[in-house]
Amino acid sequence: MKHPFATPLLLRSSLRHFLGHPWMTILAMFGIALGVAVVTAVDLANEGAMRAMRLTMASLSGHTTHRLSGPTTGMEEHLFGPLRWADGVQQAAPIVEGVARLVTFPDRTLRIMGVDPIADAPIRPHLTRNTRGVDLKSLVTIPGTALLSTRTATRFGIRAGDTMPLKVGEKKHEITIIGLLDVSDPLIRQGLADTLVMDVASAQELLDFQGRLTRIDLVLTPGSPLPPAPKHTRWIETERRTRALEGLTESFRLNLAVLGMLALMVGMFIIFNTITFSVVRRRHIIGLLRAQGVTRQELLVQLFADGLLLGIPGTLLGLLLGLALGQGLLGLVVQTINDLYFELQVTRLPLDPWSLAKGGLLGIGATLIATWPAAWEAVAIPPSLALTRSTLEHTVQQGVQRAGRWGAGILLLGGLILLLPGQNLYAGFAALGCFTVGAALLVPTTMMLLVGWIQPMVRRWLPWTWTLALGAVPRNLSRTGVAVAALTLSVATTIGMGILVESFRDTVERWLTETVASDIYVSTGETSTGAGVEVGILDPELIATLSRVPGIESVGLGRRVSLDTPEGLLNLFVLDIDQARFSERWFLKGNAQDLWPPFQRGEIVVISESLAFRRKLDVGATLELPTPTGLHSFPIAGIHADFRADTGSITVSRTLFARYWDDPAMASMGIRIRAGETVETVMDRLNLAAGPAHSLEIQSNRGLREASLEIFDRTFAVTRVLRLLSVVIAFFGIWTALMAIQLERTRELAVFRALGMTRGEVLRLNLLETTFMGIIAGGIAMPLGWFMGLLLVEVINHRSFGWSLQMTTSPAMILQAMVIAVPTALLAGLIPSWHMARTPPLEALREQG
Amino acid sequence: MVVVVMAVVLIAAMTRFDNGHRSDPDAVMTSLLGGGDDAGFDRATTPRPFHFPADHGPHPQFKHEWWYMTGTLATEVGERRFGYELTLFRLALTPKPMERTSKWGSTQVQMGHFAVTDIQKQQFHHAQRFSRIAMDLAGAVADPFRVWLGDWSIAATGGTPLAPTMHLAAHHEDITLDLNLTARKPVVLQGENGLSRKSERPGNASYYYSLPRMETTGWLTLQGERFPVTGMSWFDREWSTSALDEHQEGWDWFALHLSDGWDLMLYRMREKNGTTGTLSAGALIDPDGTRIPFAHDAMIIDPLGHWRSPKTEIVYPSGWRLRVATVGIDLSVTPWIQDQELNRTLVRYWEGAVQVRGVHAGLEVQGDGYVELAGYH
Repeated sequence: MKHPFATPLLLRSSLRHFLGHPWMTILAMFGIALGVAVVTAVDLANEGAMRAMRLTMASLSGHTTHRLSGPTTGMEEHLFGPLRWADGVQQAAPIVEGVARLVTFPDRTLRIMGVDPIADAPIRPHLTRNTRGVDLKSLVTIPGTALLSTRTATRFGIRAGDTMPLKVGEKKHEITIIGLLDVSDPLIRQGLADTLVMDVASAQELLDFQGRLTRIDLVLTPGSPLPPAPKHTRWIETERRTRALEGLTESFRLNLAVLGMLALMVGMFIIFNTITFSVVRRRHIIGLLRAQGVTRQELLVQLFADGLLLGIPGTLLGLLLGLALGQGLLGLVVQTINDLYFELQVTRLPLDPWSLAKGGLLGIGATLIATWPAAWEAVAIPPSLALTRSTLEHTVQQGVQRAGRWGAGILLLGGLILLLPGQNLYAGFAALGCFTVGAALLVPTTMMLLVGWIQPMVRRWLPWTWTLALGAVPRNLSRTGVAVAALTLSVATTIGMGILVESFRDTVERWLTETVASDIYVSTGETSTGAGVEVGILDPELIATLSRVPGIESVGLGRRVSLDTPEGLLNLFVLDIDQARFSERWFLKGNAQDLWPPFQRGEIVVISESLAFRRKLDVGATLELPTPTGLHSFPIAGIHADFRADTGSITVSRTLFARYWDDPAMASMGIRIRAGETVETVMDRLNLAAGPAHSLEIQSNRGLREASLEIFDRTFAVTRVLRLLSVVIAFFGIWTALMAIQLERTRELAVFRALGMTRGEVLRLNLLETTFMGIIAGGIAMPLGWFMGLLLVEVINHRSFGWSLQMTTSPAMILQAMVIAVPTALLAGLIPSWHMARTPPLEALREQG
Repeated sequence: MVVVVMAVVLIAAMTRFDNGHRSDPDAVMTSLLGGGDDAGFDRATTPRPFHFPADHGPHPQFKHEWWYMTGTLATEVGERRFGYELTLFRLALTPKPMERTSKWGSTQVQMGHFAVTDIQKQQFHHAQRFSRIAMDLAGAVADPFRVWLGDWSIAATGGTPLAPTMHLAAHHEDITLDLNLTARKPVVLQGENGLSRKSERPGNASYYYSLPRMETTGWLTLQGERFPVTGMSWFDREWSTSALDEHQEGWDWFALHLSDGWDLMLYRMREKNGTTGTLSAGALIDPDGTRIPFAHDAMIIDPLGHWRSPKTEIVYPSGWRLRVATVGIDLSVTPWIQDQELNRTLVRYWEGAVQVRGVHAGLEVQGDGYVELAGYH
C-alpha cells in the first residue's frame, strides 16, 4: 500500500463516526438484520405452512387415498382379507355404515359408522383418539357399545354410560354409549355430527349386516398399481380435493417469498441512508485525504468496508432473528395444527443451510448495493470540490434528478417486461422488482413536485410553522427522500401483501362456495371414477322421492364422468340445474345470461380456465370429445374459474350428455333448503325418506364450507405477522432518517431558537415535518401498493399457474396506507424531535462551528 | 427493537413442544392394549405337563403369547449373510370370548414383527403389523400347527410333534422370506420343566419351551434380488399373564448356536438399580438335546461396548463377553451390525443377529445367533 497511514486514518474516522452516532449505527444494523430476518423466516416458515395446508386439505378427505365400493347391498366381507396386506396397500380398513332412528326422538336419525379400531388407527387416528376415559377395549369386545361426539351427545342429552334405544327398520336395539369423542377439528367434528361410532362387529349386528361391508377404505402407496377390483366392486379415488388446492398453495408460497425480499429492500434503504450520512458528515476529511493523494480505489475499498462494518453484524443478527422468527411462525402454524389435529411429530424447524446461506448472501449483497451510490459519489468528485460545502446541496439536487430519471427508466423497463408475451414466472417477478425499484427512485422527485404544488396553498391558509415544516421536507431531501422512499416501500408492501392474502381468501371462499354450493349433498359416496367407469348412479325413483321431502327449496343434479381423450384424462361434469344456479357460476369469459339458453338446449360446452390455459383454447373454438358414437366437436362458449391442479374440466348440460352418450342417469343431488328450515331437520327427513337400509351419503355442505374457511383463516394467521414486520422495518427506516436530519439541522434550529422560537414550537415544527413525510409516503404507497397487489394477483398468478384469483381490494385496505404511514412517521420522529427541541441553542451553534 | 424481541419471545413461548411424541396410531393401540387388568386370565404358577402338538397352538386363557423365530442365513457360496426375525404375538383384550353373530367379533389382537438384517450392506429392515384375530385375518391353531397374520405365517409341515418340520413365510414391500425348517433337536422345556419364573411374585412367570436348532433352507428376496439361503434358526414359545415387577427394568436375552453342535440360551433380568436379578438363568443344550441348566450366580455378562441409536437416542450395550464357568463357556458376542433396533414398532427394542467366538469346554468354537435387548430407554 502506497500510503500506509491514509486508510487507517479513514478507518479511524469511520469508527469514530459510527461510535459517535451509536443509535444510527445500531438502527442501520437492525435495518439490514430485520430485512435478512424476514427473508430467512419466510423461507423457513413456508415449509411449515405447506405442511399445514396439506393437513388441512387432508382432513377434508382423511388419509384415505382410495375406496373399494360395492353395490348398495354391500360387498362380501371376505374381500377384506386378501386386500389387507396386498402389495401397494399401506393401510386398509373395513367400514359398515347405515342409519338408525332414535326411539326418543322418532324423526331423528343417527348415522352408524362401524370401524375396526385396530385397522383404522393409522387411517383415522382422530376417530378413536381424544376419547375421554374410554377404553377402546370395551368398544371392541362388548357388543352393542358405541362412541358419540360430545356435541351430538349434548344435542340429545346423553352422557357417557347411558343407554340409547334405537330402531333399525322396525327392530329395537339398546346401544350403550361408553364414551364421548372430544373432537376439536371443525371438519372432523362436522363429519362426526350425528354419528354413532361402533366396532365393525357391533355395527354389523345392529344393522343386520352380517357377512357384508359397506366399503373398504385404503391408503395406497403412491404410484403403485391398483390391485384388481373383485367382482361387483370398484375403485374410487378419494384424494381429489386435497390436490385441488395444492397448486393454489404453491403460488401463495412463491408470493410470500417475494414479499420477504421486499422487506430486505427496505433494509437496504436504511443502510443506504446511514452510509450516505456518514460520507456526507466526513466530506471534509475525505477531501483532505484525496488531496493528500489517497487513491479513489483505496477510498472506495474503505467506504465499502464501512458498509460491511454495518452489514456483516446486521446480517448475522438477521440470520439469528430469522431463525427465531421462523421457529415462531412455524410455531403459529403448528399450534393451529395441534389445536386441530394432534401433536406433530416434527416440531423442529428443519435448519436448511441453503436458506441461511441465501439470507447471508442477500444481506451482504444488499449492503454492498446500498453503499455503492454514496461511495461512488464520494470518490467521483474532485477533492477540491469535496472541501466546499456548497456543492453538497447541488449534488443532492442532481442526485434527485438522476434518481428520478433512473426511476422512470426502470418503470418503463418493468412495463416492457410485462408486455412480453409468454408464461414466464420470473418475468413477472422481474417486472414487479422493476416497478418497486423505479417507484422508490421516483419518490424524491414526486415529493418535490408534491410539496411545490401544495406549498402555495399552505402558505395562504395555514400558520407559518406549517409552511416552514413543509418547506423543510424538500430542503432536507438528502435525508427525507430516502426515509420517505423506505416508508413508502414498506407501506406499499404491506398493502400489496394484504391484497394478495385477501384475494386468496376470497378466491378460496368463492371456490368453496361454488364447489359445495348446496346446503345438503346426496350421493352414493362415490365422488370420482376411473375412465369410462359408470358408478354411483342414483336411482331416478329415489331422486324423485328425496326431492319431495318437505323443506327443500331446490334440487340440482350432477354427475362426473372421466373421459379418456388422446391428450389425457378429462373430467366431464354433467349438470341438471336451474338458471339461478347456473348464473351463480363464476364465468371469466361469456356471461351466464347469454350462455344459459344454448347450454340448456345442449348446443354448447363450458370449459374450466385451467383447460383453456393448458390446451390454449378460447371461446369460439371447438373441442373434440370421444362419445360412444365416435369423436364429436363441441363449441366452447364460456370459460369458468377453477383452481384444481388437474388437467381441467368440461361442463355440459344433461340434455347434451343424454343426446350424445345416450345416458340420462345422474349421480348426485345438491339440495338447497328453504329459509327457516335447519340443515339437520332436512337431513333427518332425507335419511328417513331414503329408507333404513340405504347406503347414501347425505352430508351437510354448509357445515363443511364453514369449517373449511375456519381452518384456512387460521392457517393464514402467519401472513399477519409478516405484514406487521414490514411496518416495523419501515419504522426503523424513518427513525434513522430523522435522526440524521436532526444531526444535520442542529445549527439551523439553533438559529431559529436564537431568533426566539420556543422549544414547543421547534418540537411542533419537527413533528409537523414528519407528519408531512408520513402523508407523502402514504399517498405514494396507496397506488403503488395497489399496483403491487394487482401485479401479484393478476399477472404473476395468471402467468405461472393458469388461473386468475379474484382480486379483492377494499378502499379500507388502501386507506390503511395512511393509517400506517402517518403514525409510524410521527412515532419515529418523536425521539429525534424531542432531542432537537431540547438542545440549547448556544451549544448547538458551537457544535457546528 | 423491543417490539420485535417481545414478539419473538412471545411467539417462542407459545411454541413449547415436547419432542418424541409417539405417533397417533400407536396411541390408539396403547389405549386398546393397555390397562393391566389381569382378572380372569390364567397364570403360570406351577409346572404343568406339556402336550404336543397341542401346546404349539394358542392358549387363549393366558393374556400374552408369542411365537418367536430368529435365525441367521447365508447364501450357498457364503458371499452374503443375513439375519431374520419373525415374531407373532397374541394379545388378549379380555379373558372371556363372546358369542357373536358377526364374524368380526373378537377379543384378541395379533401383532407381528418382521425384520431382516443385511449384513454386507449394513442394512436393517423391519415392519410391524396388527390385526384383530377374526375373519381368518390372523390366528393360531394347534393341529396341524399354524400361526399367521395375513401372509406372515409359521406352520408345521411334518416331522414329529416334538421335532417338527415347518414352513415360514413373510412378505413386506420388497422383502420376501420363504423358508423350510427342520428341527435337529427336539423340544426343550426351559426353566423349571417349562415354567420360567420372571420375578419372585407368584404367577409372574411364563410357560416356555424352545426348538433351539432348526436347520433352515429357502429363499430370501431382498430389493429385487433373490438369494437361495441356508442357515440355522431358533424357535421360542412363551405364554403368560405376567408383567415385569416394579423393580425390574427389562431383559437381555441370548440364543446362540455353537459350531460344536451345542446351543446356549441365557437371559439376564435387569433390575432398575442396575443389578442382575436373581431369576436370571440359562441353559446349555448338548447335541442330543439334553439340557444343562445354570443359575444367575454361575454367569457373568460383561458388555464390551455401547451403541446409541440415532433414531431414538437410546443407548444399548453392544458386544459382550459371556462366561459360565460351571459349563466351561467363555464367549465373545458381537453384533453383525449395530443398528438392529426395531423403532417403528409399538414396543421399541433391539433384536439382532450376532456372531460368536470363544471357548467351550476348553476348545475353540464359533457360532452365531440372536440377542434381544428389551426395556432400554
